[in-house]
Amino acid sequence: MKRVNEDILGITAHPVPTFRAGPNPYLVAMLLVFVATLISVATVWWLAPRNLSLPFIVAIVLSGVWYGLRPALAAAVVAFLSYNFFVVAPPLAFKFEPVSLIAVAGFLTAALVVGAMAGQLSDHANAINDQLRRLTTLLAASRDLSAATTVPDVAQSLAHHLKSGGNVEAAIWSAAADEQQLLAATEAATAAGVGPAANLKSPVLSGITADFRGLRTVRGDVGLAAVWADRNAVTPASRDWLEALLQLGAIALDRASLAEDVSEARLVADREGLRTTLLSSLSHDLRTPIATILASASSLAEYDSRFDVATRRELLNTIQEQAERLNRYVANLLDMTRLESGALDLKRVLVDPVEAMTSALEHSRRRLAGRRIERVFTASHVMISVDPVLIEQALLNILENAAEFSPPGSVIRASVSLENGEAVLAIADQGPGVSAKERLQIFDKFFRGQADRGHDGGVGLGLAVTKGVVEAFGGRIDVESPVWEGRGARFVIRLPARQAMEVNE
Amino acid sequence: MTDSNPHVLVIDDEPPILRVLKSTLVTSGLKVTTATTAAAALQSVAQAAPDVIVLDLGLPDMDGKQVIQSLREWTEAPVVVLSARHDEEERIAALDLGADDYITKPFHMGELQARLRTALRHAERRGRGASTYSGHGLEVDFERRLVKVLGQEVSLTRKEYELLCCLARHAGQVVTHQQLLAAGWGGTITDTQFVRVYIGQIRQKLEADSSAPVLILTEPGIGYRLRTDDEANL
Repeated sequence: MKRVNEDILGITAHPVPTFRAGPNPYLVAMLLVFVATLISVATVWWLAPRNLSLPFIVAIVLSGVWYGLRPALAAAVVAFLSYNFFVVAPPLAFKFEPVSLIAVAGFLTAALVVGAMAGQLSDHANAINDQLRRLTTLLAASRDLSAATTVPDVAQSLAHHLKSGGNVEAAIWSAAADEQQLLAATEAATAAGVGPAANLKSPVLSGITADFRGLRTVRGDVGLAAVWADRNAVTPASRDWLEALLQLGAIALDRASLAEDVSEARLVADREGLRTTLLSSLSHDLRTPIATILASASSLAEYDSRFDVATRRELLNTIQEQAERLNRYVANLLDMTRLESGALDLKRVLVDPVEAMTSALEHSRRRLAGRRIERVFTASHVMISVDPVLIEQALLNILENAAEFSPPGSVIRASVSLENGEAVLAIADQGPGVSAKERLQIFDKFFRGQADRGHDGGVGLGLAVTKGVVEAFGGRIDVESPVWEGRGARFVIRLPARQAMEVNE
Repeated sequence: MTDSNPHVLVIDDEPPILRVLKSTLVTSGLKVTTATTAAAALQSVAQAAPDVIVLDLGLPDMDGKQVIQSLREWTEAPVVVLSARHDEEERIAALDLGADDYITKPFHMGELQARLRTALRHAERRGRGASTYSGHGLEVDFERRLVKVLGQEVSLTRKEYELLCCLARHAGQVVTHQQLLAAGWGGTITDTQFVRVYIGQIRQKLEADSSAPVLILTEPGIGYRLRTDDEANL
């Protein structure tokens, strides 16, 4: 394991290049010495011979400052040879005597001192740069990890940052001991064939020796990661960086799984709450009409001949009305179940929204009797992809709501238009409207508004079904209120629109 | 009650429904036979030759579509199907297999009676090969290929006429998208969008207000229906 770590960290095996890139350092050093030689030869007639070494010193120092020890030493050797050959009398000949040793020693000392100092400085700067880069990648990783909301997203983000920040290949599994799952893997890890479960006993994946790391927080194990780096890749990663990133990943995984637990718990609580409301709604919305029907029918059976014609008529009308109400409620209950059982088997066909609206208006003609219906249809050659029966039910529920709350003689305006690539189906009424507070809840299942009291519409489910249908087909629904001189409500359905087929005969 | 009264066979496995239907239909002047299983129904068809059949698609002993196929081997009598609201597929299949109309449970008695009258009238017209249709201000002369609305002649393209003709021959009954495609294009096209576009054009020409059609009604997900005088104000 230790050996593998060293590989991952890359520090010992692949030292980070210490000096700046660019032209070959030795070539530049030689060039500097050449320039120094030129200057010395050019100024030999007025400088004292002992000063003629100064340009060479400058060349050596510059080589050392720019490129470090070795180019500086090379510059010193060449400088000495050049100095001896060109500058020291007699010119154009080597002349070694004890005094020339002083020049050699001087040049080499300059090279050694400056080169070592420059090397240290450069190492230091590089180390700081590396540190900065790692911190930057950690910061970016930390930002992405905290933005990811689900456990697989977090794992994916962690794998991505291991690869992009340190060129580390990784595979990440969930911690669940009984059913371990592969959450994310880098491309190379996928290619190496990491399986759905990590095999801790054999850390070798198709010839790759990986290092297994537990992702651990104070709450315990949250995952498992296998990490390895390509031997030949220059990795800026360090042990600390890897540890830090894995720790960040562990914390993010923990947070995501905690969040999932919480939302699951909330779902259970919601379901419990829903069951309670469902029961109270069922007992109200089913029992009331049944009670009315039973009472009316039994009294008709009992007192048949003693009722006058008008009373009999009224009782019969009540039975019919209540049965229709029961039917509407059951239809919505069934639609709701249908929607909640999963959107996968939803039927989708292309429907003309104008046709859907006219059909819904036609089918609620009796219910809307006495209201003035205005039709404003500006969308043409537009289609929506929906289940025609469900979308009609969605519209019927809004019309039912409008019929329930708007006074006879008032206007109900139905419109279909095309706005920003969306089919907009709207129904506006002149009823009491919807308060700002109710607007938030009006689409909730079994919600009954303030105005509902005293109404027997039983539409507690209708608008929720409408919302469910609209959203199942990728649309949105909103309610605007007031819309007519301080009164009224306007329900607006927006669905993705498509261009209708053109037929030319 | 005489033998000239039309004879209706009602097939449903729910006795309460049968009771209500029987008493109402008898009161309205029909001769009524009932059956609670497909087997009993087929036997009854063979023996009594009903004029019209009301069939619930959810029978215990046989699939609804199969019942229609078996019925069609025995009789040409119109079949009105009773089905649940969400069984569009089942309903379309039934219509395409030869059922004449459908009505969704629960229904208003008046609606069922209207559909039965339509079915009977339809069978009778088919019997004598009616050459014209008129209703709700619309007149179609099948022989002269003439269409009039409130006495005014309307010119339709050939395809528009074929579709209207198909609706008029089944006036009052639901005609499926498939049946309309077959009537207009002879089954060479299966995209129901064609039907929608042409129905839109016909509405433009026939309806007083094509945004509020009263002649050609949409049956969501199934097809279209031409409204007859009988149900003008239903």
